[in-house]
Amino acid sequence: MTNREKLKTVVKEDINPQKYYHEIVKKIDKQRKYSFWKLSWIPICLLVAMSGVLLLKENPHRKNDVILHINELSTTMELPRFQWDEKKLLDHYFNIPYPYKIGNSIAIPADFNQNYYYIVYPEEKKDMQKEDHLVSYYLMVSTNGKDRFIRVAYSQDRNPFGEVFSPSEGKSTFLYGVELKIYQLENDYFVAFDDQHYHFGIETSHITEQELSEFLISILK
Amino acid sequence: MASQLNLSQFDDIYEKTYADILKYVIIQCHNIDDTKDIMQETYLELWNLLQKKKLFDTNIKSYLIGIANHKIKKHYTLLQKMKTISLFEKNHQEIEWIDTLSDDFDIDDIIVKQDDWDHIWEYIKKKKNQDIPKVFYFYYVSELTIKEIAELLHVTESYIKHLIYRTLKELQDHFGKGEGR
Repeated sequence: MTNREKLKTVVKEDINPQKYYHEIVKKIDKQRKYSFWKLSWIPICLLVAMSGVLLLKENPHRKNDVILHINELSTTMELPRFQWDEKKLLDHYFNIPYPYKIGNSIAIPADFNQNYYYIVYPEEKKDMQKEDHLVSYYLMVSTNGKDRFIRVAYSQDRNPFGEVFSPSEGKSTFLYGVELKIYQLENDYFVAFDDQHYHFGIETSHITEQELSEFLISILK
Repeated sequence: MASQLNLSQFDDIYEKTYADILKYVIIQCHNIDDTKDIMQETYLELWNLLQKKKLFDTNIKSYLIGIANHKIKKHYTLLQKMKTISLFEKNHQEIEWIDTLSDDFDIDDIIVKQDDWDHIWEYIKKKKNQDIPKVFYFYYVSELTIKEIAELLHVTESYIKHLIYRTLKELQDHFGKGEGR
């Protein structure tokens, strides 16, 4: 190869329109992707805005600056009702362990003028006298004497709801570092969580979401 | 689909025009190393125009030269122009030197110790007088005659001859003795 050919080869490699072309096409591709990305912001922004509206409107529920994730229960599901025919009515809540943090002012609806306290035994042991060793759970009930009530069951040994709820089911709500599972079926709410060394189960009827939120905040803060 | 059609149209335009646009850019640029950037900017601009309107009825070559001209002006700031301004320029007084060099001195007469033309081309490209790499490109790659190059660059044939023979002599001195690197 002559010097002339060698120089020509080197220069053609350096000033190479075919290489330029590939670089240009790469940049065009980049521009296309960037344009697509820019345009894609429009539906993304719309989607985010719509999602935000829906989230605020439906689930999670924001009450008193607290977001409650309320999981809808299926009507075909076994309801986590507490059993009433295995309880012992007590005269005063002093007769059972107080489950809440001392000093908390518990927020119950203003029309709830009746309170009841129970020890609930395992069904097969209900006639036994040594309650303390056989307790299934304690139960505190506040009600307006009609259809509205809040029932709080708690136990150190077992989940008052039994096996009805699986802890992994549904979205969690976090209040003051406590993880709660909140469920709803029509006018009733069901709440399960662990706090103060107790397993809690709360069942309510015909109270509002706001009332539930205030109650939960008051017992957990 | 519309974009694919445009890309195909773009390919066609590039194939038909790149040689002339490249020649124009090389002539006009202040530094031959800027050719790549200016070419890319020019054709990217064309691509963007193709996205907005059809250019079938336009004299596409003139259109591209207009874009290239705009890109070249934009590419060089005043400072860059000052930095890259040729110290040799087209100072025709220097043509007197040509008399001391032999007209039949050819590139193939150069005997370089290190047969590395990549470095020789880099050396040529770095000349302060950017007419030198331009002339080398047109003379050895495009294989234009000295007369054609002189017309392209709007200089005399003697000036082109001077640049070629003087640079060849310099290459012989520089690389032939192995001092180049």
